[in-house]
Amino acid sequence: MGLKDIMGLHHKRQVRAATLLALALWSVGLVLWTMPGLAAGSPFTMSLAVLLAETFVVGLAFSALLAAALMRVERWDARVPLLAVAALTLALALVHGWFDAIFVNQARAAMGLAGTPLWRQFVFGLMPFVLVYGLFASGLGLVFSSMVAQERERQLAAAQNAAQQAQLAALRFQLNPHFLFNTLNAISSLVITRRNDEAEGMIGKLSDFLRASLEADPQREVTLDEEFSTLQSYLDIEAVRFRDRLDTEFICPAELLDVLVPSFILQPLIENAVKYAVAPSRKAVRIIVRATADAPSVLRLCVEDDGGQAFGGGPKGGTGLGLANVRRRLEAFYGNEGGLVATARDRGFVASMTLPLRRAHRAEAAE
Amino acid sequence: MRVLLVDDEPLALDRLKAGFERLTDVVVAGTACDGIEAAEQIRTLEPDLVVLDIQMPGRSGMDIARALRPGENRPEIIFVTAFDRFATDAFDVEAADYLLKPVAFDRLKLGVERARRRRALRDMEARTTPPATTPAPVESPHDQGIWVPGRQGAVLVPVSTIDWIEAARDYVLLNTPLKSHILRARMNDIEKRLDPGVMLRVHRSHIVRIGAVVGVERPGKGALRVVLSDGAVLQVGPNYQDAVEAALKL
Repeated sequence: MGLKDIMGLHHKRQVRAATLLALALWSVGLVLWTMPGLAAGSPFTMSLAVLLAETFVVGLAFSALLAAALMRVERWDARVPLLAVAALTLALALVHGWFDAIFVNQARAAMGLAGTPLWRQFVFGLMPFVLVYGLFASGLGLVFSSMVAQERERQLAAAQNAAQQAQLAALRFQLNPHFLFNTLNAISSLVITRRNDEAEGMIGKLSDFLRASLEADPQREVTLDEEFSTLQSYLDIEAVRFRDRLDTEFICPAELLDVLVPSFILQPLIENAVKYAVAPSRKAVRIIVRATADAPSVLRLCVEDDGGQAFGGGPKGGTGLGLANVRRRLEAFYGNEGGLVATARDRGFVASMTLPLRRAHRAEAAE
Repeated sequence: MRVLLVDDEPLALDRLKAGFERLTDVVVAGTACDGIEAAEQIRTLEPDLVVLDIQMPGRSGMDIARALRPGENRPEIIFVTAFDRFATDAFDVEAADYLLKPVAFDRLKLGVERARRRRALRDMEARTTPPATTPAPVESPHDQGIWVPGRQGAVLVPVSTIDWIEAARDYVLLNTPLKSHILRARMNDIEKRLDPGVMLRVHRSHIVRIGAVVGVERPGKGALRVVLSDGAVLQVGPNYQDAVEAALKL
C-alpha cells in the first residue's frame, strides 16, 4: 500500500467519523428540542417542522465546516491549533444561534404569535448551540487524535521492521557461506595434520571476525581504526587459505584513524577483491586499502588490486551485488554526500568511495 | 587405484591427502593446485580418479571435467567444493560424486568406493557387451522407474537399481551403485510414487531400498541406523523408527 493510499484511507475514515457524529448529535438535539413542547401538549405544526429542518441543515453544514478545520490539524499536542479550533467552534455556535433567533421569530410571525426582540431570542436560545458544537468539536478531536496515534504506531512498527530486514540482509552478506565452509575446511585440515597451534590461531581469527560480524549494527558508524581491524581479521584468515598468493597493505594517515565510517562498509569491496582477483590468480595479488582526505571535509576510501583479468577459473560477473549494497548504504547514511566509483584498470580493479569526513569525538559532542 | 588431488588451497590439499592415507587400495599419484596444472597432470599421470575442486585459478574444475574425452582412459571424477550450487552440473558431467567441504572421511570413502565400482564395470563392459535387458512391465500403481533429466534428454532410472535416495535442499539424489542422479523434486512427492514395500522412508531426508539394507546398528539410547550394500550408514529418524522396524521385521 502506497503512502497516497494510506493517506486516502485515513481521510475516508475521518470523513466517516465526522458524518456519523454530526448526524447523531443533531438528531439527538432535535429530539431534545421538540420533546418538552410535545409532552406539554402543543401541536406539531408545519412551522415547527420547517424550523427543525432549518436547524438540522444549518447544523450539518456548520459541522462540516468545523470538521474540515479539524482535519487540517496535524498535531494534537500543540496549543495554537487547539485554540483556533475552540474559537471557530464558539464562532459557529454564535452565528448559528443568531440564524436560529431569526428563524424562530419568522416562525412565530407565521403562527401569528407576538415577536420577541431578536437579541433576546438570541441570548435565550444560544446555550444548546454552544453545547452541540462543543461536543462535536471535542468528540471529533478525540477520534482524530487517536487515529493519528494509531497511524504513528503503525509507521513506527513498519520502520522497525525495515531496519531489521536491512540488518538481516547485511548479516547474510557479511557471513559469506563459502568463506565460512572453506575456513572450516582449512581448520579441519590443520587439526587432522596435527598442527594444533595453527588450528588454534585460525579458530581465534575466525572468532574475532564472526564476533565483529554478529555485533556489527549496519545502522551504526565505527571509527576507521575499528573497521580496519575487522578487515584485518578477515584478511588474516584468507592469508592462511591462500598463503603467498595474497598480499595486503593498509595505507592510512594517523590523523584519519578516528574518522567515522558505516560499519563493514569496506568488507564487500575486500571480499570482491579476494573473490575476483586473488582466487582466480596463479600469481600473488596485492590488495591495497587506502584512506585519504580529498578535502578537509571529504574522506576517500579506496580498495585496489593488481590481479589480472580472470580467465576461466573464477565466477564471471556478479560484482554488482556487493557494489550495489555499498552504494545503497552510503546513500542511506549520507545522501548525495556519499558515492562509490568502481573502475577496471589494465591490471586489476579499483573501487573508490567518498563520504563526509567526520571525527568520532565531534559526533559525540554533537549528540 | 591411482588418484590425483586438485585444490588451490594448500590446507585443503593437505586435508585430502590425510583422508586418502586412511583408505586402502588407493595411491595418491599426484597433486595440482590450479586448473592448468590439473589438466597437465591428468594427461601425464593418467589417474583412475581425480578429486577436483571447482573454483580454481586457470581453469575451473567443471571446465576440466567437461573437456575430458569419453573412453577407457577417462578418469572418474569426484568434486569437492564449498559451493552447493554446482551439484546439477556435476552429475551432468558424469561425476561419480559431489562432496561438500569439509568432507567427512566416511563420506569420502563412499565416493571412492563408488568410483571404484564404476571403473570395474567399465572394464567389464569393455570386454563383454552386456545383453540388452528390458525390465518386464509390471502392473503396479507405483512407479518402476524415475525419469531424470540428463545431458541429452532424460534417462529412466529403474527403482530396483536405486540403493537410497537423499534430500539435498530443493533436489533429491538417487544413489545407485555407480552414479548419483539428481532431480528437482520433493522427498514427500517421490515417496508417494514409490512402492512402500520396496522403498522405505527412514528419515526426513532419506529413503532406502529394503533390498539394499545389509545390516542395522544400534549405537545405544534407542538409536537405530541402517547399513546399506554400498557402505552408507544412515540414521533412522525417531518418527520413522517403528515403521522401519516393522518393514525390516526387526
